[in-house]
Amino acid sequence: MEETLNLREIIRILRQNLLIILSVMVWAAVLGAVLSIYIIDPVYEASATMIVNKSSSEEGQDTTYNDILMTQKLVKTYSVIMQSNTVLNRVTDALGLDMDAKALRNMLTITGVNDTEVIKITVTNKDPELAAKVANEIVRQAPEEIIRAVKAGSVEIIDKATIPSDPVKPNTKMYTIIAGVLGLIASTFAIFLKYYFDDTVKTEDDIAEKLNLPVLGVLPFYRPEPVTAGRKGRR
Amino acid sequence: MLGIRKKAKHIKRPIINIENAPFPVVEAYKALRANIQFSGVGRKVKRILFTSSNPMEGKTSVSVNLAVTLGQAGQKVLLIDSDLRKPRVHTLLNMPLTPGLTNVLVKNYDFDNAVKRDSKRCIDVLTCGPIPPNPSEMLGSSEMKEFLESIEDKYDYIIMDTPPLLLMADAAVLSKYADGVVIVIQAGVTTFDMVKGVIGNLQKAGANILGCVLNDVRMEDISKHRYGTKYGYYKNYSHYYEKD
Repeated sequence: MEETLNLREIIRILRQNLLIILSVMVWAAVLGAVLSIYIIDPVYEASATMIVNKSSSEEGQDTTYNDILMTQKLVKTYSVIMQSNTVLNRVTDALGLDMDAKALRNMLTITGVNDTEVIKITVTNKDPELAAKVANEIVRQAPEEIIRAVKAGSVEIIDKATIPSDPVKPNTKMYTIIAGVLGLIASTFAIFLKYYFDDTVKTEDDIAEKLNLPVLGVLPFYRPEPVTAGRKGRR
Repeated sequence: MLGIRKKAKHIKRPIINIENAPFPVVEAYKALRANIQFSGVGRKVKRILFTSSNPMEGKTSVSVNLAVTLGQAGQKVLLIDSDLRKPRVHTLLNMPLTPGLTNVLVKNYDFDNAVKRDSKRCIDVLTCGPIPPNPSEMLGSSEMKEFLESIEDKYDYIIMDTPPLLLMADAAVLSKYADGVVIVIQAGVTTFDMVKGVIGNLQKAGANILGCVLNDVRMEDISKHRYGTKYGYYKNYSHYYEKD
């Protein structure tokens, strides 16, 4: 089809279908909210932070760019050590958990805090208590292994993990907004699709534009109540 | 109502009852009447044929209502139901099917005996008559031509209702005996391709296409669209015309 919708027509279509679009949007948003509140299991996040001190020989020197790069590399190194089977198996043993190191690793995220040497251990789980326990157990078990492996000076715990009160997921507000926006987009798209494939004659202008046919009359839609009895009953 | 329109395709369209019809409907038919009358200026437009692409688009109601509206203007009007397949004019006007057009064509009735006078609506009506096995041949026959010529002087307008053109060739066949053809288009239902098909068929038959009638346009579309000012103006004064 070579015909294109002009701006005025787009606005007309949108205005005519404003109610449909808005109601779909509201329903989608409600659905998103219901889904996030009642259907999706909440997930909690507990995190602990710790710092690794390098061996004492390097102390007192000015911090150079290399040191910063080094720090970032070291954070990665420590995170690999903390996610090693050795550390994680010790954690499961200490807590008496019925899961292997791989399952535990999936709950675990280890990041450096803003290019510093501080390492943040984050544990996500459906059980807030378990998340906090695991995070604390990791910072308890990891230092020994880190000191042994990289010959670091010492490892200090900064923050212990506390039991989180609010779930991180699902974010009800965000789910609602996303669902609403998706509903808006989908309904608008569907309506334009419908208009695009609608090849029916609608207005006098349509005829003048595309058929080059004189319009002798425009008759309004008019159906009074059926007068003949019986006809109505059959419907 | 969420923009979803009640499908009312198969509800019978009414005959315009001038006492009860809403003002814009009556006015729309008057405008159509005026345009039909104007199209006869400078050339003879007496025998007018109404057709459409598909059934149920409003051929019969438009032709009946236009005939009534012309009759009210003091014109001598004959309405012929030349839909020899599914005649409906007689049901709309509450008339017997026979005697009618086919009786006149096979000459077992005189026109004067077959024609029915609707004195309330001021029109003469020739209903279909017994449904023949060969409608196209009958409509294209020389008898049809002679018949139309014989009654031409008695009337100002001869309105002919026909079967849908995309299904049956009857209207194209009959169009050679008509001065003009009007295509009925149902808004929101008839597609451009259908109308183009009808125009193509009529042009092949050599018909003089007067134009089209856009039927079943929603009032809100009219008022929101081009006629905003026109009908908007009338709307303010419509209480002058309302009769309960």
